[in-house]
Amino acid sequence: MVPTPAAHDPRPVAPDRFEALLEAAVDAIVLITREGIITRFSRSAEKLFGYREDEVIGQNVNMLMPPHERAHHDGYLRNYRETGEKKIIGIGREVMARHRDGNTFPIELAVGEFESQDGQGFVGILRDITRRKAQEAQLTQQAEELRLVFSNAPMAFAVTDPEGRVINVNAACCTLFGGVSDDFLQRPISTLMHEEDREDGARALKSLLAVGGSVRRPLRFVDRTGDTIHTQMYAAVGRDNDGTPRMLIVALMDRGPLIRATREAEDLRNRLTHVGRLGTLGEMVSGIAHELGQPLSAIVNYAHASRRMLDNDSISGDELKEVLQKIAAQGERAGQVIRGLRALLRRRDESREALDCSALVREVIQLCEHDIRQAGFELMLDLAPDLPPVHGDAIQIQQVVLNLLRNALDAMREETRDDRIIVTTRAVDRDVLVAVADGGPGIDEQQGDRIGEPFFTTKEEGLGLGLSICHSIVSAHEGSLRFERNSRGGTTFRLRLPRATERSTHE
Amino acid sequence: MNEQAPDLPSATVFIVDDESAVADSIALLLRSVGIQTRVFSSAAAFLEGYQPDQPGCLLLDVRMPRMSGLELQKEITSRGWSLPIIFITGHGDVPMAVEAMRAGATDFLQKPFNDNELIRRVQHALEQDAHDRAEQTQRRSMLEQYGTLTAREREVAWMLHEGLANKAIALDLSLSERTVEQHRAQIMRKMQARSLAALVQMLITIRQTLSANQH
Repeated sequence: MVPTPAAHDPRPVAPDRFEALLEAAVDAIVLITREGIITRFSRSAEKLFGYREDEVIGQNVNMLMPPHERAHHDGYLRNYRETGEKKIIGIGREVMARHRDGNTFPIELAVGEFESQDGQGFVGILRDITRRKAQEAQLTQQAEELRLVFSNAPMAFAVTDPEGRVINVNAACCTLFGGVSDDFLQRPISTLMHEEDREDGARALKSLLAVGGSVRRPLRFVDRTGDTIHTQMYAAVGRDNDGTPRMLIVALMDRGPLIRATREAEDLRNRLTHVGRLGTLGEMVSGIAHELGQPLSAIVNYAHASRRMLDNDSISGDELKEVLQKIAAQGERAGQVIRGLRALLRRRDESREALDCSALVREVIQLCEHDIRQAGFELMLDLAPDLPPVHGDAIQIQQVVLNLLRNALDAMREETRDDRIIVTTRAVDRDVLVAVADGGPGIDEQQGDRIGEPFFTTKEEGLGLGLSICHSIVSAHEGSLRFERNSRGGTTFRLRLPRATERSTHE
Repeated sequence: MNEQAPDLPSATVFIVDDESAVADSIALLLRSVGIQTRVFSSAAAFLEGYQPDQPGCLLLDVRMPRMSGLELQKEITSRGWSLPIIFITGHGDVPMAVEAMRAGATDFLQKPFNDNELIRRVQHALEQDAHDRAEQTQRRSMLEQYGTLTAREREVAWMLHEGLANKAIALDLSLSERTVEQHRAQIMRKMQARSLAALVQMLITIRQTLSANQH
């Protein structure tokens, strides 16, 4: 539609056709003299500017421009007249126009020069590009937004060509790997991967290109200093309209902080367990001293008695044998207490093995049986023989059971509805159950909600860490710890631990 | 004086301890020096099985389930039984031992104890029990003798105790001095007192016993 310079002179050739063109053209057409005076104003120009033709004929065309462009326009015309230098003719450009109501709007303007019997002049063809400009602006804004997201995203992004060569990385990616973007450009992304994961990662990206969709997997990379970066890699493929892969977008989430946090939590749990164990032990020191003192004083008494009876010949060989037997039994009893104590005190990393819960309970009982009897309560054991094994850390599970027993004892000291503590072990479904039932006052619902929270306690001298440690141990063993009111009015704590599977037992 | 010699073989050491091995070994140790023993596994079993006239002493573990040693001591006191108590305590139980001694325990032995120490303390307690029982017997016979005095004789006896001379007593009671003489002779005979000093001593004991019984 853009007329070439010195194009046809329409009117002498076909005036009727030119008139028809002015009437029908979608684009606005304005004819001016070499001085810029409007000579024709098409129907669509009337619509575009809000003037009738008779209102503008004879006026300077710069009335259709915003005031600050008018002077320029006069200058352009003068310059062309004097030098013949074309700034716009035959080129076309985007300029601002002014409506009758004073609003300005963008137009695309093409200008042609003509000569007729009336003299020389210019023809301007004008198209309103308001909508196109708005769309362009929107696209630009969207692109800018995307750029901002890409460059400021906290997650590392890398864009590669279909061959996997890096064509763009964001700041987070530079930070993660330690470098500047130039370090990455044109490098095959697989060379950034950890040696052991490279084959795996490259294959995943390759199949992504072939099949499409997206990929999500943990993958290790190596940073500039050679350190391993643990990431979760998300990748998607970008395609052309015809479906040809154009690029790969790879996002890497650094799992390092998560891994560190998990490790710290684990550490803290181990430390808490130890503190809890020591705390419980602290409370029990007098009990254990007593537990050891009993067999020792019996041994000493038996020995002195035998010596004295031998001195005055008042003991027979059989009687002496019997006393020696008693001494040996008491010695073994003391040894058991010490073994139990030693095992409980030793802090070791989690060592998982196949365990018999009945045996674990029996060992723990030795450490608190005395206190329970001392408080005037009865301890009843209902331990299943031949329990299926559970897989776990013996000391930690014993810690839980010990805590439950101490809780039972404390509850019953507070109020006794029944003087029996009943400990049961059973195989239930896929689990092994250890239940500790007391005859204390029971747990009210309000307290029930808070049980297991760290530092929540109903005991005046308690730290409140016992059950929270129990919970963390139990969940580390993929078990559960629940409580309920029992028929004797007290509380029953039910510890369930999953049976060891074939695999876990043989690990 | 109607004093019995300590009769050790008939005295028994009553051992109350929930720890059967400890009780059994103590019993064997005491038997090795010829002391008779009886073992009870709880305070309740002792209260049921003991007859108050049985001489001896009690060897009692402070810490026991249900009824502790201290509680048993209180029960024994409230029943008016007189039996020396030796408490056996663990080494952390000093405050308990102090409380026991305050409540009238004879002695306490801290674990671990030495066999000689145990035997010595037990023998001492047995001697004390024998002595107490003899004294008690004596006191009882004294009270019986006092019971045989007439009202007038008692009146005269207490005035003698206050140190009044026969003449003063006669004047006070509007009696002849001779009648007072006769009462006095009667009192000395009934109370089996060899001298005025012995009588006064007896009366002091009697007054203490009577006022103690009133409380």
